[in-house]
Amino acid sequence: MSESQATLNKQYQPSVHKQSHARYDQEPIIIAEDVHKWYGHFHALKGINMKVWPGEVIVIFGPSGSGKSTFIRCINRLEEHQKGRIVVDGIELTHDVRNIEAIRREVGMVFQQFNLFPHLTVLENITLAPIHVRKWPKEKAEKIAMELLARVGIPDQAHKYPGQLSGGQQQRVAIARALAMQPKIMLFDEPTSALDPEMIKEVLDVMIELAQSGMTMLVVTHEMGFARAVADRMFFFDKGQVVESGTPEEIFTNPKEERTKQFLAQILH
Amino acid sequence: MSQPASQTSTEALPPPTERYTLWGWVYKTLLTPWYNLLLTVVSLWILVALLKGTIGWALRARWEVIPANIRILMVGSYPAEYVWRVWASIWLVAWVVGFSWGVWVRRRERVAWVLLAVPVVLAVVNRGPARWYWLAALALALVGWAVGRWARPRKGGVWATVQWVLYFPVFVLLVRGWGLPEEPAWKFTVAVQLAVVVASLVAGAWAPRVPWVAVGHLAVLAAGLVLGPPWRGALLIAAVVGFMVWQAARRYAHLAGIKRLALQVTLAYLPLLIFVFFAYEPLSRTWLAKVNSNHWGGLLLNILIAVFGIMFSFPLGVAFALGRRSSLPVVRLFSILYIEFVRGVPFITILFMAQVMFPILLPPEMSIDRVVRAIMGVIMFAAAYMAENVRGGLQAIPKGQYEAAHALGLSATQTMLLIILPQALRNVIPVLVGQFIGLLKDTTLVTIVGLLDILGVAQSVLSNPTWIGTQREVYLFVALLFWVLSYGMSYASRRLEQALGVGQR
Ligand SMILES: Nc1ncnc2c1ncn2[C@@H]1O[C@H](COP(=O)(O)OP(=O)(O)OP(=O)(O)O)[C@@H](O)[C@H]1O
Ligand SMILES: [Mg+2]
Repeated sequence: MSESQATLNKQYQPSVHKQSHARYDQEPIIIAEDVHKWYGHFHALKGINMKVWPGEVIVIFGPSGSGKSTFIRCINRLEEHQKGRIVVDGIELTHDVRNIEAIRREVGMVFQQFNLFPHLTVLENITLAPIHVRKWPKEKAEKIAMELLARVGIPDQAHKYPGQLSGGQQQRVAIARALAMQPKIMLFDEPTSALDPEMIKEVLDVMIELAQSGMTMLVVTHEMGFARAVADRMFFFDKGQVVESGTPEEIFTNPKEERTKQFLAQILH
Repeated sequence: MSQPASQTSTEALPPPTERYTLWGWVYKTLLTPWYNLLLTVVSLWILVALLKGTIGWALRARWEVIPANIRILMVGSYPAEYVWRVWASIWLVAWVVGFSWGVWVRRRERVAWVLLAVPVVLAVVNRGPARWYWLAALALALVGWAVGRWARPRKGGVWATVQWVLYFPVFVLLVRGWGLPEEPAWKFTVAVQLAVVVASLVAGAWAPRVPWVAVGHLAVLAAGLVLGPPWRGALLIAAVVGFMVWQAARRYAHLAGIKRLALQVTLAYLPLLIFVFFAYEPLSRTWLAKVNSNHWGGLLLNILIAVFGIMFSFPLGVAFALGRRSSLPVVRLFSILYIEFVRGVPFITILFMAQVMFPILLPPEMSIDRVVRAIMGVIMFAAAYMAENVRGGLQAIPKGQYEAAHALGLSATQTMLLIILPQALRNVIPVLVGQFIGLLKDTTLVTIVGLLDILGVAQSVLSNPTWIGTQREVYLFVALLFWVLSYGMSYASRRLEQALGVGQR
């Protein structure tokens, strides 16, 4: 495995002293049991099982079309699963709208395409949900938004519109926007795939800082440097199933499944 | 190998410019090669031939028909003693346009020559008091512009929007005037209604967590039932409106502005009461007496129909557009049926149907006159097209915007009102302005159902023996008027779009 180690070193290398914040003594914060999902006749998720404990950082990777996005979008009900059980922070996802809204308040999400609101300034993007969903006074929401903008490294862009920012800055605003709701869990769906190489680092740095602050994170990504630095466990998805899971050490140095080996060889070259 | 210096240097160069002298331009585009010369000669010959005829006619034409009939062309049989109200609404719009211009189009010191030209030309061609009235409009526009420039951009933008939103109802109230309710006790019912609404607002804003305010609304309702007319209807409305205001205030109680608004409304209650008891009746008997819609005529009628049409078809159109995308099958089906039915029928047919159908559909005691029926036809017609335009704007919003809003926990209504509609409407502003202009021009079709709009007035002028044979003068004048109005609207909206950056973000 020395070869893939060598290519790993060519990728993004955060200088982090690895330290897990997972609290395995507590109840799992996400429980997915035998989750199935069909698009029409197409079987996109074929029985996913996963438990995530508070403070854990989970990296999900796998080939295109393997169901990674579909799965994490089921966790905040952007997609509806048709069989199995998903429990988030003790609340089961059902058709009950109040359950869905309650879970969405606790789960933040960052998208590949940023999805900022182009008609609102950066500050308004971030304060919108705290004001209208959490019902905070505007002053409080703005104060926290400014703190978050400082945390993601762009305190001076608050009054610009998203269209005036670079891709990396936009994605950091998107992270701040999700954090403003003070979620317990953050979902990331390929947050750096739409970015130029120079900008990937600035977004990953923010995500690493977030991981080290003890946030529970589910990250779909192929940034293996990030995975090695902060992931507690990794899940390899293929054809709607979890083919293999384990710690980064296990996955990188000693993958059990042939499919995992092939895929890692592909993306690490 | 020696490279030219300009290829290796990295300094920025100005873009190349081509400079012509006037003669150079004429020579290059009009005189060479030989076929351009030929085209120039032929076009000049045609131009001269046409102009000779036109100018000859224009010099001999009986233009006196226009000043002799200008009043009925403009306002029809609108009572002379109230025409000042029309002037007042012109002054108001001059102010609002000037102010918005100052606020929104402040880049590069550009002055709206095209818009300024309108009152200037009108002041020049008019005689007597009208000249001074137009000069007053010009002055108000300039003052508004100066004030708008002086205002801070964000505050000024809010003010300009508020003024536009208020302008249309004010215009209608000025021109139509105020009617006197027949019910003698109306002052007291209105006072109580206002009190209920103000109290609901205050309760919702200051104590959003107290649910038993609703008991108060029920009590108002019960009191109405016990007291009988006229209190029954009045208190029913008060209870329903009060309940809705209370719910809205509760919902947005966390916003800082709500408490301030509640306070301001409370403070406004006493002056409002004084107005209702002491000012409304004298005013509506004298200065602001109601002018019935059968006296609306001329260009004023066209503008009134257009204003009503825009004011009501816009919200209706948005509602149908949302209805067409609704997940409730009944709502969706109704919207589709309505839109497709109206779009499948010619406008004139709808105007005729409005004249004959509404009297059948409405209860006999609710007789509505011809003008109102025509307006309702226009609204019905415009709403369907508005809905399709808005739907186009809605479809252009990417799915990611909905997903991001949902992921943040916004409800479906909040997503629509805060995220989707603002973007969708902003994107379709150019299309909507185009539709408004079309609507204004289409209002001349009401002539066909016998209303005396400007075209109807023109026809009656032309049938007057004194003015026989002046069709060209009159219709040319009407055409010019509509061109000025339409061009003014599209020019203003284009400049506003640029200033607001529509289509850039
Ligand atoms: N709305 C949809 N309708 C029908 N099929 C869909 C839909 N969304 C996803 N799919 C299908 O489901 C499968 C899983 O899609 P998903 O987006 O979860 O893949 P992914 O692992 O995230 O891939 P990628 O790396 O390309 O993002 C794919 O085959 C896709 O074509
Ligand atoms: Mg995906």
